[in-house]
Amino acid sequence: MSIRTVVVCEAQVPFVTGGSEYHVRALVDQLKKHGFSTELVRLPFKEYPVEEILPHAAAWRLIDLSESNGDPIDLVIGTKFPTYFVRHHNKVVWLIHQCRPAYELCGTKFSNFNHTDKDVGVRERIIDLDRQMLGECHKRFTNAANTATRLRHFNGLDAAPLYHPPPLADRLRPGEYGDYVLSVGRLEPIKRIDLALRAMQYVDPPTRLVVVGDGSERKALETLAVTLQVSDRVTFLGPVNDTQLIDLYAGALTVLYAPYDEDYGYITLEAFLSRKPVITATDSGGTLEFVRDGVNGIVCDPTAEAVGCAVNVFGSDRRRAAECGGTGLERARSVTWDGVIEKLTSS
Amino acid sequence: MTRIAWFSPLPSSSASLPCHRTALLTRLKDRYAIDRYIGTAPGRLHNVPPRTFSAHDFVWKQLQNPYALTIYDVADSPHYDFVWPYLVRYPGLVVLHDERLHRSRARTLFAQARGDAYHAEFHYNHPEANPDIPELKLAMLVGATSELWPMRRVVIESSRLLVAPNAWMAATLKAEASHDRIEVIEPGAPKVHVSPENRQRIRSQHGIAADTVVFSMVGPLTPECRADSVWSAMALLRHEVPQVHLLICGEAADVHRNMPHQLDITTPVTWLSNAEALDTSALVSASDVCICLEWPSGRHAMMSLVESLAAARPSIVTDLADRVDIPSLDPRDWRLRPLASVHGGADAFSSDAACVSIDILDEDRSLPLAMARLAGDPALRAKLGSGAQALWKRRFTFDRLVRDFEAAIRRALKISLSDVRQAELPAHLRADGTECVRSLLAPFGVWLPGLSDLAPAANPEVPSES
Repeated sequence: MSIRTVVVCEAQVPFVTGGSEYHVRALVDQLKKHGFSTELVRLPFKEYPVEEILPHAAAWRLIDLSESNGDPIDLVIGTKFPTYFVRHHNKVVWLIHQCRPAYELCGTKFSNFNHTDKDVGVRERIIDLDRQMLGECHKRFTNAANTATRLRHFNGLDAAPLYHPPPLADRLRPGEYGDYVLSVGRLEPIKRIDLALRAMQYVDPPTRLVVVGDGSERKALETLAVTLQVSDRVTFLGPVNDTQLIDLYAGALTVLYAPYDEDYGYITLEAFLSRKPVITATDSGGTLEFVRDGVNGIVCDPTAEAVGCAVNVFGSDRRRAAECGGTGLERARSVTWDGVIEKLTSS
Repeated sequence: MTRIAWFSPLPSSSASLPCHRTALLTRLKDRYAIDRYIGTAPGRLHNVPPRTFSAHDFVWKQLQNPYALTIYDVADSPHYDFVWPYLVRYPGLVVLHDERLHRSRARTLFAQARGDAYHAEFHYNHPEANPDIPELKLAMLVGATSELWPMRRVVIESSRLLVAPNAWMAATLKAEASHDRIEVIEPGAPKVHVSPENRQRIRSQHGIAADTVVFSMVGPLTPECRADSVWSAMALLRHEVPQVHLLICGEAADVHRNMPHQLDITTPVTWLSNAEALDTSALVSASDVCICLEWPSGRHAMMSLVESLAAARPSIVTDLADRVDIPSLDPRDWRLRPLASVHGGADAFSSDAACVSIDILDEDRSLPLAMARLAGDPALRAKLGSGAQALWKRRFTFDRLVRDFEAAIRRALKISLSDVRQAELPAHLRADGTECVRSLLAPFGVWLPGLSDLAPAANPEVPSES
């Protein structure tokens, strides 16, 4: 079957932009570059309270995307939960993540599901529907091996990891190994920016921490920095534009990225493409597919002291930071768009 | 091998019932593939036999590869709260340890700000009760509501098979149930090896003389286990029999911890932490008489009594309806109490007393009497100890417990889920997660039996490249 028209499905949390939004936009751009007539279809998503999750999923199920204005839609690509609930005869999923609070986050502080009759019922329904809806897909790809492992573990479904470069890949550049550790990401609990702040208690001066990003935790994190008495060495920049971000990457000593069980994580690759070593944690998930301890970064326990010591390793030895950054650069350069669109669109 | 999911909390001390459950599961694992599910988050689950998971993991494991049977330990304690949603959604074999469940269930629902759910469950459990009674509970005005209305019908009707720890409780449950799938499995404990070395070690460790008579109490110290009465009896006893000591192992509220000071009996009391009590045999070895009193509000399974029997130690128990088939002496006349034949076995006719039982209405007088006599009469202690061991061998061994559970599991596996009638349960207990979707779609005339019914059939082709 010849593919001409493609619809990419995106579940978007209004006023929030993160890795998955970049991923979807980059996919649309690449499809267009490859000559496909491509449209992005978006529906808003809200995952709280838990009883709201299934109505949002059902909304995707109710939409008819078989054709548009009399022309057939040849391929639909689902991305994150619940876009893959969409009905289509030729559905492919490039899975960014499922409804994580119902899966691997359940039982952690990052999940709103508890041992209640309602929550157990909703979880059972989500997991069962995921198995069916993802099972319908003619092909299943994931953004990283970590996501594929979860799918196999929780739903018994196979999928192939399909890596792609971060949005700024072509523009990132190396620079000096400055006096600051860079943290980039949404300021949400699961990103564990608080770990970076706590680690600063163990980081030797004059090394500073620069935090880029915004989110629901910002106020609490600023307060925490004061409480920990590290606020004089921590700068919260909020959201920055691409040019500023590229400059910040270029001038950093190292990049600290230690979220809890990340799916994929652009930050790792963006750091490497800026020739910076990455400090991550043993439970950070997808970042561990790229960061090798002592080779292109440091993988440490998710404790403030361990992270602080890791920063000091590079703070006291910039040559080592450069070596690790160089190795990381090679790794990141191997991740390209080559073949990605072909795999998604081939019959 | 038959796959079983067993919901049971992890033990906090060796004296607790969950500890015995761990031993039981370990014994059964050769015959069944058992996964234990607990309420806590992952992280501390490793190295605990058998395979142990967070209950959150049960949902996806059950969907992928359904268990042949789920088993639920249920008690009126916060440690068991996590079991409820699974018990109702996936009916299985329920092992009921307490006669009443009102207190823990109400606490859980109140903590979740679900007053409506509490109302609905109360009325389902007790349709005959005044509908305003839940208001009293909600206003925390009447503590006795928990005792008067046990709230166990949800559990009874949601069970494929229900197991009670004694015949009295089984008879009570059968009177309320719409089915007869109720069995008795009495508690069981391994033989407790009493060693002189342990006795000496524990005593010297806590400054207890070799000739001192030691009374012990094991388990959380609550008003229900008559802590106040024991303190008062100790205060009286101290004047009559100076060489006595009370060994306590278990958590206690400050009010109980402070009471010995108020009664000036600080010296002959030793508190052990749960960690020290991990070696039950050492603890029992050091004691001469076990105190296993209980107010009839909980009707708990009598684990501390069974351990005392297994150690051939005399016990002091409360004369409750569920224990009338335990041969015991009345301290008011030191005669054998008339035995009721609720158990229906040989014990109904046994004359070997295993313990001393206290009439709860005469506790103030009978308890000091019992303690004084036992403290001063080593021959009686020995005779009761001998009777205790004989009783343990007849009814309360661990091997018998294992056999009984194997039989119950066999029976439960033969009971079809269709025999479990849950149709009348309160709506929130029957929720399947799609209620919100259904209500949103109802105005469109769409009443979906399941969202997946809209799905076209497809055969996924899984890409091989990685």
